[in-house]
Amino acid sequence: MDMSQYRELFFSETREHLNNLNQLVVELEQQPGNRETIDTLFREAHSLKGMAATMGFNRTAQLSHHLEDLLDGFRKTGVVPAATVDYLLAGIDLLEGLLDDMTAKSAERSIDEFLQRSPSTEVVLVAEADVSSPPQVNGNDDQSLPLVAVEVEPSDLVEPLANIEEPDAFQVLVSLAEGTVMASARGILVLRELEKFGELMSSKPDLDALRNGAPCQQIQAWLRTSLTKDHIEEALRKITDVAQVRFIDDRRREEVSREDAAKTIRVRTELLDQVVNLVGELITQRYLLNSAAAGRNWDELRQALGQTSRLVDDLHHHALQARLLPLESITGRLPRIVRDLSRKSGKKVTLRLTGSDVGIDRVVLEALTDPLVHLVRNAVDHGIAEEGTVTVSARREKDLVLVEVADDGNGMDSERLRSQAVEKGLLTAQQAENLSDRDALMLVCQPGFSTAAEITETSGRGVGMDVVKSAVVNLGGRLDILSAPGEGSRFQLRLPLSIAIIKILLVRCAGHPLAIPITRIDRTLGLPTAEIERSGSERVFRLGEEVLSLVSLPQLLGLPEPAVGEITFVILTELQGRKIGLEVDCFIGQREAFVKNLGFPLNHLPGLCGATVEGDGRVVFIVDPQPLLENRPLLSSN
Amino acid sequence: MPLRVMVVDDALFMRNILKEIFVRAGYEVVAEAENGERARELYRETKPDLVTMDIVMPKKSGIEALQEIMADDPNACVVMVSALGQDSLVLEAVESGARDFIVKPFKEEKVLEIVKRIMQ
Amino acid sequence: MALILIFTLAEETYGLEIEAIQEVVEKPALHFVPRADGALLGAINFHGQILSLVDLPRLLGFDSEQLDHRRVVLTAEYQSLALAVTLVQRIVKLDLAALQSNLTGESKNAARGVVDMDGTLVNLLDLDEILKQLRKLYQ
Repeated sequence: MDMSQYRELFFSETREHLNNLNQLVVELEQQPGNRETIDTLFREAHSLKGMAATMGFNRTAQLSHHLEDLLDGFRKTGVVPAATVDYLLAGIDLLEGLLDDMTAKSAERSIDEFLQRSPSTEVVLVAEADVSSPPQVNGNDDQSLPLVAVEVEPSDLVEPLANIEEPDAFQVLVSLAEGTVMASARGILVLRELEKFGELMSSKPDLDALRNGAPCQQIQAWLRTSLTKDHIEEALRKITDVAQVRFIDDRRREEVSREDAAKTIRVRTELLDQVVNLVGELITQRYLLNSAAAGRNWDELRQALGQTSRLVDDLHHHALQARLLPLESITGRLPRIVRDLSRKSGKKVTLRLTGSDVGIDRVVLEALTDPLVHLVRNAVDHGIAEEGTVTVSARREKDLVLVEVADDGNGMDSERLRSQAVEKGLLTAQQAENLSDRDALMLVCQPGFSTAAEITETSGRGVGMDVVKSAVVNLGGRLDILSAPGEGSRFQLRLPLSIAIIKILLVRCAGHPLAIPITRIDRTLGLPTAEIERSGSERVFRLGEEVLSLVSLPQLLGLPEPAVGEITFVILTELQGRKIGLEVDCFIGQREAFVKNLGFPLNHLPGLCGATVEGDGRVVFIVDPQPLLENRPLLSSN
Repeated sequence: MPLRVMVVDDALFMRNILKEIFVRAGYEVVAEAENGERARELYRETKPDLVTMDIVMPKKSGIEALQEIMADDPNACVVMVSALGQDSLVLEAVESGARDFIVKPFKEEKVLEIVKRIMQ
Repeated sequence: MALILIFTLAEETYGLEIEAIQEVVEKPALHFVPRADGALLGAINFHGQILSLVDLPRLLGFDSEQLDHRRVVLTAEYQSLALAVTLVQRIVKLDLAALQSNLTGESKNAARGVVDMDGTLVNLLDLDEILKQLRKLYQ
């Protein structure tokens, strides 16, 4: 059985289990006798063990088994001794490390040292907090610890991914360079090369998938060969666009993107069913449209079109739903962070999480992870003096999600912020005076602004607040700060529920960068300028048998014509069923863009259908050539 | 003996660029064709070591020409020259036996790199 | 008494209630807008929102060669337009009860009326009129 297809699911579920473990142990620390929590903890460790063993990750399985046994002991006594909490947390940290190893496809790190530190349940029972006692091995009791090896029923064990029995067979990973064009064709050539080395047992993607144009960033292949790895690597590296060649178990290169695993999300089956149903309806609708068009029945056609657009809206809505993840997928780590921070600082801090089930777009959540941790750290470090509560909450507000990090600590003094801004020369006294209290609080988001008397090891308010703010703004959201001396602070992040992402081609047009939706592009051409001919007042060029008009995009946009080069860069688009060439200065590249809607009067300019903000803050407008072409002054086309 | 190359493209401009690249690299351009039909005839006559083949051409497309050449000579070394966005055509060509492909606009080094690798 | 932002358009002094203003932004980067012409100078990135920057003197037919680098961003009620003016001066307190409505009925300068500020006549900007003008231009 091929287990590789389950890898991603395994990783994402393991991550969830680890989050839960962290959270539960922190809960237990507060209520060491909560049986229900101990039971849940035990079950979490148990499922983790089963999953890891199934995948053939033996050390992870062994460590989970060890923790499971330890927890089982606590189930019997009904209490988790305070002194074992750190040990459990260290175990979870080690599991996280192992997860990193597995994701990076490198060998699992050693767990021996950790197992040797194991506190025996018996010792703990007798002498509650004595962790300094030497590790004990107890042979009489079935539940005794530590465990040296895990026994897993052979039927559960499948061929582990990380090593394979046959000595001359191994797994090779070929990564293509970013931006590789025609990756599936390139993939076929890579497979063909691999076949030359010996027996290509299987690959992912395989030849059929590639023939069907499957996306191909990386090829994973099982190879049986007598050739050396160096020889194979050398040959593969010569292929155009091959960026990296790796062999599994090769620990020299470990930087496999961990992002891949995080990109897997689970979708409720009902949602998937709804999507499938909608697509089914659309297919039916297509027949209706076809027959209405064939019969030139305009009423029917209009009706069918109306129905189609309703279905497409529905489908869009459902597809966006599939991107939503609960906030808790990123708040899981917070209890642990707060616990560690309050320990270090000697403050007594309680963390409250509400609205963790509120769904937020995956992309938004990813970008929110660090800012949220930062805000919580700040709240503990600077908000709370000795003792207090940090609340992280989320709720829907129409099309927005409000995520709030609040503390009941010192609060911020806008007057003090004003005077500090003046001292630092960020504002003149007059400007500071004119600042509203709200705006004065926002001063902490100025790069380098810090109000903490001393900057602690973990955070300094102001250090990084600018990062928090720009992360929120870049997502199309807003940051507000509500605070007053003695009244605590509230950092409110208003974020879009879902965001629109489209694929665009960036081009330069009369010197300006512009974006064109990929859906409007048939293909791009580099046309020798010498091949452009005149036909009446029009410029035309030949493409195979066809003679196509060439229209200048700068001219359509009322911009000066760029200088003529040896090659004319052309975007082939379609206007009312006819192909037409659009000339631009040059192509910059393809990318996915987060579309921002435009306000009046930008949204009334012909051809502008949105804008996107580049990494450097530059605004690039998205141009739909269709309306521009439709409205261009008609030229004679003899 | 220098490598013998045939260049197939309907645009003289492209043929000239490719010819210059090959000549500068010390290869011999033994034939050039401006459409697929001519390409097949010239392949039979000159039996070049390598062919660069444009895809979209009048009379007979590069794909058809490739398929016919491969049928005549299963060991033929044909490299497709395509534009961005012709993914499915390139896939078909690779399926039909093309050894590699070059995407326009291309750089001299890239062309030579591909040719050298194939001819090894 | 109302708080009024005082600014000039060419030689004329204008005022705008601060309730209509979201923010006065110092020198935001101006982004190129394809098809922008005349009174539309370009766009600015205002806290992640893409806003139109309007050349107010030009829209109202004034001859103003120079523009202040500070931009007046209106509230959402007024489409969050960003306005470029000749010179942003200061915020003052004025008694709008003393506002004299535009007796001449002349609306070309988009003033709701004039009010005296220590001997200078301040035209109170009529934002509805501004929007009307823009709608005429960008249908």
